[in-house]
Amino acid sequence: MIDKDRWAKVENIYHAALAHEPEGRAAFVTSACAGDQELEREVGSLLKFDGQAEAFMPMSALSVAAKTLAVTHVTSQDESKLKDIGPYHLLKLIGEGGTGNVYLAVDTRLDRKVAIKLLSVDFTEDLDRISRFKQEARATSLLSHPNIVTIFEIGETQDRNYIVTEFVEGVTLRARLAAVSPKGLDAKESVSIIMQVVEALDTAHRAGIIHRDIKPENIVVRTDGLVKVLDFGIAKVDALQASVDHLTTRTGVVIGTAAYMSPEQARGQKVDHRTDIFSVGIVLYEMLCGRKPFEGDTWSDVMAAVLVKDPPAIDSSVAPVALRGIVERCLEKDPDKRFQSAGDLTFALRQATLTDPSGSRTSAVTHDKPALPGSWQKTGLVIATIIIALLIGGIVWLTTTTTKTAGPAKLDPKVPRISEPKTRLTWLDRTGTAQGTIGDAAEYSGPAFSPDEQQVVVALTDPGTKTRDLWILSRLTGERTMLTSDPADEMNPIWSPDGQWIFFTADRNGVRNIYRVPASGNGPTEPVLASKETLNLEDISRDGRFLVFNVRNNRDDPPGVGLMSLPDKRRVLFASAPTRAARLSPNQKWMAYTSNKNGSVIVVRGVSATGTPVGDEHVVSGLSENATTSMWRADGNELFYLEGRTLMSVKINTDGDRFEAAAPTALFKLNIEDEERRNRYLVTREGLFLAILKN
Amino acid sequence: MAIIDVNNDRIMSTNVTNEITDLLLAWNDGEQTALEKLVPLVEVELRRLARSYMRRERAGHTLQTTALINEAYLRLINARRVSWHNRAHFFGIAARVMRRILVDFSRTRTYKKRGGGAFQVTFDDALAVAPTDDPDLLALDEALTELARVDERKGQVVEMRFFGGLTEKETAVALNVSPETVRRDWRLAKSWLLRRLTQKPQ
Repeated sequence: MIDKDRWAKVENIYHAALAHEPEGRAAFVTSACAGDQELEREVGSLLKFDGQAEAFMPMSALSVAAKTLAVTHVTSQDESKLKDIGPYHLLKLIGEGGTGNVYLAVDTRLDRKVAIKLLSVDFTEDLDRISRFKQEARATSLLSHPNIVTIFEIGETQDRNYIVTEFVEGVTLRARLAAVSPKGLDAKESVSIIMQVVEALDTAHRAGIIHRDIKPENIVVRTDGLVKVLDFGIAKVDALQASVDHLTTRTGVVIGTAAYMSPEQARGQKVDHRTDIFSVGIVLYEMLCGRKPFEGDTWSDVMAAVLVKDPPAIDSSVAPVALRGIVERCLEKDPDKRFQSAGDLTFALRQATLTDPSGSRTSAVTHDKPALPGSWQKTGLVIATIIIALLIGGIVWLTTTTTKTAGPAKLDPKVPRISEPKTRLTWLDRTGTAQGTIGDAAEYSGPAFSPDEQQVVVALTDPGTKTRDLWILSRLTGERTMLTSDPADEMNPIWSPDGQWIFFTADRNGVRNIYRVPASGNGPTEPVLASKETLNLEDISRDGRFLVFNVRNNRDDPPGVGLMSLPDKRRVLFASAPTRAARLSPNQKWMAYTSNKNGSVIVVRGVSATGTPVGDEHVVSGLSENATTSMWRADGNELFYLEGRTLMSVKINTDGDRFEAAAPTALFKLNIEDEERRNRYLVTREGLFLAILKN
Repeated sequence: MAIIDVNNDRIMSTNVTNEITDLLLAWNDGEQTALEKLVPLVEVELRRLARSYMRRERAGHTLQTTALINEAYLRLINARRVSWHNRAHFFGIAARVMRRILVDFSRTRTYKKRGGGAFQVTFDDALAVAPTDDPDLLALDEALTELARVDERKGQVVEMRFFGGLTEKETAVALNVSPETVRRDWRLAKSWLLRRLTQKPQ
């Protein structure tokens, strides 16, 4: 062991030597060591390695080890140890896929069966993909259709992302086809199934969502005949995954997927909703014929067929001419030549079930019992029109077009609903299940609870004058009392924590300012904050000292968040534009608000005793840039917000001075107006939600 | 310190990061059991990170060493919860955890590959251009332990720079010395380690 002094000497001489040109170093070291040969040897041997040392450890160990670390996968054995994910108790593995495994699980809170897809670790760690996945899944979770599998939750546990959907008991179309192979299904069953698939697609396409991976594996037929299309939203990412995989693995699984791709997908071009129409054509072809239209031994053979070959003609014994024509049109290589929408395809399918080969329409369809078209009976293809009509909701069309005229009907199969612009104050529990309403249907906006939560103060738009007045509704009886009746707009009320006042926003004297009126209604309205600026009331602190509002210099400017201390009327600009809709945490230590500096996100920032901002802004709304309308739970340990129409939850610890927040999870989607208005939902102390739902 | 990118916080799994930060704090306060909990957590994060970087590399991009290290620290340390002057110190602690994980990992791999037998020391010029798949971290780790006995600070410099991926400046802040000192330490330490690795120990 070398002693410290001696080591210091070695070090000094070593560095001093390095200051010399390499050829002069030996001489320098000899003279510096002054006859101490051991010292000279030590320094000399170290200097010998100095040249090589340049190339030694050129990058960090982590970078070097990344390759080997990367190849050691977390195996499914790790996953098999999993028993519970959040409130979900895993029962059994029911499916395996490229992006993860699917388990049957029980939601222990509701004791209901759910399917839970646990995304693979490989998938989860790619932040870009996971963000795409979440976006798609959230978009899909907004779709509500009997033929689309409902997404309950998109969540994250430890290091795994998962997606919880309704559990569908039935067989996949793949299994159904295997059961009758090598024959196909009869035309009646094929049409029933495909029409439900197309209905699901129609809804999705209208919402701007493309499935991209329609195939028999993603279609489940329930025992009662109801069809559910799976993997909306995941499909996009799955398809991308598949297109990457096929290049490397070329497994049978991939050939399966490739066989349902459209030519534009196969070419890697940009696809639109018409890619799903093509895939529907393939599935329908396979159902009718018992084989795929484009086949090959290798992936590239299949792709080549998809791109250039016409599929073998469908035998006239398995499908009538109209149906064969529909398949052919779906399978046009050029998207412009296909059906241009799922709606058009539905229309054609419905026509085909009602039309005989000569093209003349049958008329024996009645509201209750549509009769069976003769020509279909002749070919032994009994169409269960009633079932189809029920399933596709097409009864209206059938009854309104049972005319004698021949030729294609010109009526749009989508009968527009004349909906009244009315809303209902609806109670919802944490699963989104409706629990009743308050009051009648009307045009409500900006509600707030009384301190005891037994009453709601809300703006109601007068159907005649189209201006808003404030009303108080009783939670118990639904009875309503008018609070303000000024001809100008009154809106966004808040009940003071002592129950005495209702603060609100009103347009008076040409500006939008903040006023208050006794909650009893007995007394005049008085200005609270009169200013030339446009002010919009948002919140009041629990102790009643601070008002929180949006402030704009001019009505068209983006707002910022302002705070006013009521006792001394002192104002603070809490957050500069573009920010809005701030909510103080119950303990008044934190402020949640919508920031529009980058998309629309929910941020939380500390608040001092004087109402000034403290510390940094913390974004809590995850990857979304479409988040609005935050709302604290009464204990301050959970923040809700809307992502589009989905109610999100973020667990937050507001007790300490340190900011701690979990990743957001989706609770349920709300049938609310898209327009962002204040308090489209409220939450009670016991965790019930009151939302302004579309009627 | 440049390696904290606040905007990136949004994509971090804050739960895990918070847990790791807690454990690092506890370990720093002398709670030895924290390390046992820390290692598997950090390992999962590092593996995950490594895979995502390798995937990007496969996609035709070169491995972004600096970005990899930066992201690793973002995953390990919740910057909001550690004061600025403590951060560098934390990187130092994290570097030790990373050393242990990478060496353990190398040990199991070496054992598997070579049936537990001896291994060869190969540090050559090629390393600078194309690092070998399996750097001899085990031998380096042993040599580094010896170096720390001779000169503790040089041991720390190597640990932070090589295992922790810290820059010269960051290492200087963590050790509370000048960057020049770190540079000198690093240079001598490398020569010392190379000599140790190429010569049979006495």
